[in-house]
Amino acid sequence: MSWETLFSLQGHGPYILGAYGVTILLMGWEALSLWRRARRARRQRDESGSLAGRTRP
Amino acid sequence: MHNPSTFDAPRPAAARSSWMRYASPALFYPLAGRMIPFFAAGAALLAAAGLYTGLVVAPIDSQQGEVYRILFIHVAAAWMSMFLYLVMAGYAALGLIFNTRLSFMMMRALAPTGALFTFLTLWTGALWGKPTWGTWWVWDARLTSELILLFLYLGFMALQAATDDTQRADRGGAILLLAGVVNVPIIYFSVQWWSTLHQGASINLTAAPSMARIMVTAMLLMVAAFWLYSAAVALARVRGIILEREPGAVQAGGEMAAGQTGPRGARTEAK
Repeated sequence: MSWETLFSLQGHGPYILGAYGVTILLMGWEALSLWRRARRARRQRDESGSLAGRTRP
Repeated sequence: MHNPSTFDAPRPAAARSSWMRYASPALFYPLAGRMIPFFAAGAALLAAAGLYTGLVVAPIDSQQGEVYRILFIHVAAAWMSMFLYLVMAGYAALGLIFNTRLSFMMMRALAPTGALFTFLTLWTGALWGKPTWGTWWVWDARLTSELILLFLYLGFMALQAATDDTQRADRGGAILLLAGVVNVPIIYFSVQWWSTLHQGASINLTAAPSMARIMVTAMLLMVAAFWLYSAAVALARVRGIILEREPGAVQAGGEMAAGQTGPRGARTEAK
C-alpha cells in the first residue's frame, strides 16, 4: 500500500485514520499517564525510604 | 485455652504457596509488577501484527470498500467494552460475597479502560456509519444500549470519586455494576431481539464466520491485543490503588517477598 493510497483510501481516509488515530492516541495517553503515575509513586517511595533511613538511629 | 501446637504452628508450605495468597494486596502488588511487561509486550506485538494484517494484507471489501477496515478495531473495542464490564461485575460479586479488598480494587482499576473501549466503540462506529449508513448516529437498540453502557461506566467512576469513604464507594459501586449487568446481554442480543439498522454478528461460536479468513484473523489479532493491553493497564492501575490504600502493606509485602525469594525478589522490589 502506497502513502497516497493510505491517505486517500477511496475517499474514506479521514474516517479510517480518524478511527485508528483516536484509538491509538487515547490508548497511548492512558498507558503514558499510568507509566508516569507509577514513576512518580516509585520516586516518592524512594524518597520516603531514604528519609526514614536518615532519621533512623 | 487452645493448644499452641495446633493453632500457632506455621501453615504447611504447600498451602502458603498456593495462588490464593495473591488475594492479599500486599502480595499481589509485586506479582502485578512482574506481569505488566509481559502483557504490554504481547499487546504491542499482537497490535503490530493486527494492524499489518488489517491495513496491508487484508484485501478491499467488495461491498464496503476500504472503510470496512474500521471494523477491525470497532469490533475488538465493542467486545472488550462488554467483557470488561462482566469482569468488573464478577469482581464486584466476589467483593460483596467474600469481602475481599483486592476484588474491589480490581473492579475500580478496570473501569477507566472499560469506559475507554466503550467510547472507542461508539466513536469508530460513528466513523464507519457515516459513509456506510449515511448517518453518524441512529437511536438503534444496539447503539443505544452501548451508550447506556458508557453511562454505566461513567456513573460507576463518578460514584467512586464522589466520596472519601472507600468502603462505601466500593459497595455502592459494586451494587451499581451488578444492577447494570443486565445491559450486557441486551447489547449482545439486541440485533436479534429487535429490528435494528446495526447488522448481526459476523462471528459466533455456532456458525462459520461470514467474513474472509484473513479479515477474521486481523480482527482476532486486534481482540487479543486489546485484551493484553487491558490486562497490562488494569494491573498498572491496581498497583497505584494498592499503594494509595495500603502503603504499609506494600512495604511489608515487599519485605515478605524478598524474604521468600532471596536476593532476586529483593532486586525486583527495588526497581
